[in-house]
Amino acid sequence: MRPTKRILTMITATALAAGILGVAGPAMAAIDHYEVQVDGLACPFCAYGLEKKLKKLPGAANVQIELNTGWASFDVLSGVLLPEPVQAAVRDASFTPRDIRVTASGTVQGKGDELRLSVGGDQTLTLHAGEAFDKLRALVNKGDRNVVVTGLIRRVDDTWQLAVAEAKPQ
Amino acid sequence: MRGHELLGQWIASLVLAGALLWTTQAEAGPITFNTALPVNANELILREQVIWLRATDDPSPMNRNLNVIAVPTVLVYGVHPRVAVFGILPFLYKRMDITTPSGQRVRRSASGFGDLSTFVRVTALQIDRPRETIRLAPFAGLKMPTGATGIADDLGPLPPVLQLGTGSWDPFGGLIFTWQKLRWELDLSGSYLVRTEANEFNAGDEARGDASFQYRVVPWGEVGPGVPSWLFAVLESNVVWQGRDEIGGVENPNSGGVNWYLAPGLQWVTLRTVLEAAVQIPVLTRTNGQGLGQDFIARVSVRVNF
Repeated sequence: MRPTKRILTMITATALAAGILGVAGPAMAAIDHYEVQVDGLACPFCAYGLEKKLKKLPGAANVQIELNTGWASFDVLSGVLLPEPVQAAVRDASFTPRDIRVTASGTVQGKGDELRLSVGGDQTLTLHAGEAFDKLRALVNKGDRNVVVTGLIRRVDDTWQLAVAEAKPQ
Repeated sequence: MRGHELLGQWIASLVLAGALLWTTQAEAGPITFNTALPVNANELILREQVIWLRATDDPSPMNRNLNVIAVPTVLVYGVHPRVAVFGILPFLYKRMDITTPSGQRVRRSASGFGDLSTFVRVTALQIDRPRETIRLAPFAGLKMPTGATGIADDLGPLPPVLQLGTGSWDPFGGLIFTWQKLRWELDLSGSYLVRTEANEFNAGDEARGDASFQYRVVPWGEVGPGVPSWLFAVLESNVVWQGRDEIGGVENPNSGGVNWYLAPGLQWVTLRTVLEAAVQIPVLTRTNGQGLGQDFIARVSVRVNF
C-alpha cells in the first residue's frame, strides 16, 4: 500500500471508529433552548404575533407561549442563534423582552472562576456565579469540559453572562 | 321634503359614518371604537364586520324608516412595532321607506362602496409589565370621498342619508389609552372629526368620547397553560357630539346634537381570530330639531391575524 493511500485509510478508519464509538472531539457549541419573559403580553390574539416572530427566527422550532406566566420558549434545532435577534423579535412583536433563560451546550474554556462557553460566531457566554456554578467547576476540574448549562443570561458590556443554574456533562 | 327634515336625516347618516370610521381597530380590544394594542411590524390583520343601523323614530309625517347594512373591511399593517396604518372601505346597503305627500309608501335604496378612510396610529407611550400593558397612542387620518354622491332613482336624487358617500374630505384625529391585563382591559378614546364642505353642504364636526371595559368570564379563574381561548363580557359607552350643519354657509338649527350609547357585547378571543357582537343602544338623545331617532346599531365582527 502506498503511503498516501495508507494515510487516507487510517483517517477513514479513525473517523468511522469515532462515529461508532461516540468518541467526540470538542462539542458543537450553541444555545439550544431559549425561554424569554415577555412583558406586555396579556391576550391570546396578541400572542399570535409573538409566536409568528419567534417561529421566523433561524433554526427556531417548538415555540410555546404561556400566557399565565408571560414566558415564551423555543428550541434551536440548527445553526447559531444569539440572544440579540431573539430580543429584536420580541420588540418587533411590540412587546418588551425581559429575562432570558437559555440552555447552552459546548466546551468550557478557562479555569477556576474564569469559565467561558463559546456559543457560535465570535460570541462567548461568560459563566459565573449561579446555584450550579460549583458543580460546573467540579466538572471542569474533573476533565468534563463538554457540558450543558442552563441559566439566566444578561448583557454586560460586550459579553453575555450566564448565571449557571444547572450544569451537567454533555 | 322640507329642509329641516332632509337635514335631520343627516344625523342618522353621520352617526353611521362615525360608526364605520371609529370601529376600525383590528386587534383585540373594544368592539365599537379603536384600541392602542399592538400590531406587529410587517404583519397584516383583517377585520370584517356587519353593522346594522335602524332608525325608525321619525316625528315627521313622512314616517321614515331607515335601515343600513354596512360591511366595512378593515386592513391593518404594522410598519413598525409602534406605527400601524389602517385602511377601511365599507360596502353599504341603504334603504329607506317613506310616505310621500300623496300618501303613497315608497322605498328608496342604494348599494355600493362608501368612503375610504385611512389613518396612522403611533404608540407614544408603552409601559410593559409581566402580563400587563399600558399604551397611549395618538392617531390621525383622512376620510376620502370615494363613495358615490349623485345617486338618483325614479323619484329624483336620493337624500343625503341614502347616498353612499359624503363627497367631502374629512380629516380626523384622536388619542387612545389602553390598559390591558390578563383579567380585564380598559380602553378610553377621545377623537375629533372635521367635516368639510361638499356640494354646498357642510356637515357639523363630530367629537367622541368612548370607553370600553372587557372582563374575562371564560375561563373565570386562573388562565390555563399555553394560549387558551377567552370569552370577554364587554360594556362600552359612546358619547357623540355633532355640530350644526351648514348649507351655503347658513347654519341649520335643526341639526347636530349629542347622543350617548351603551353597548353590551361578547367577545371570543383565540390565538388567530376574534369573534364578537355588540348592540349600541341609544341611552340619551339630544338632537336638535327633527332628526330620525335611532333604534340601535348592531354589529358582528370577525378579526383574523395573518
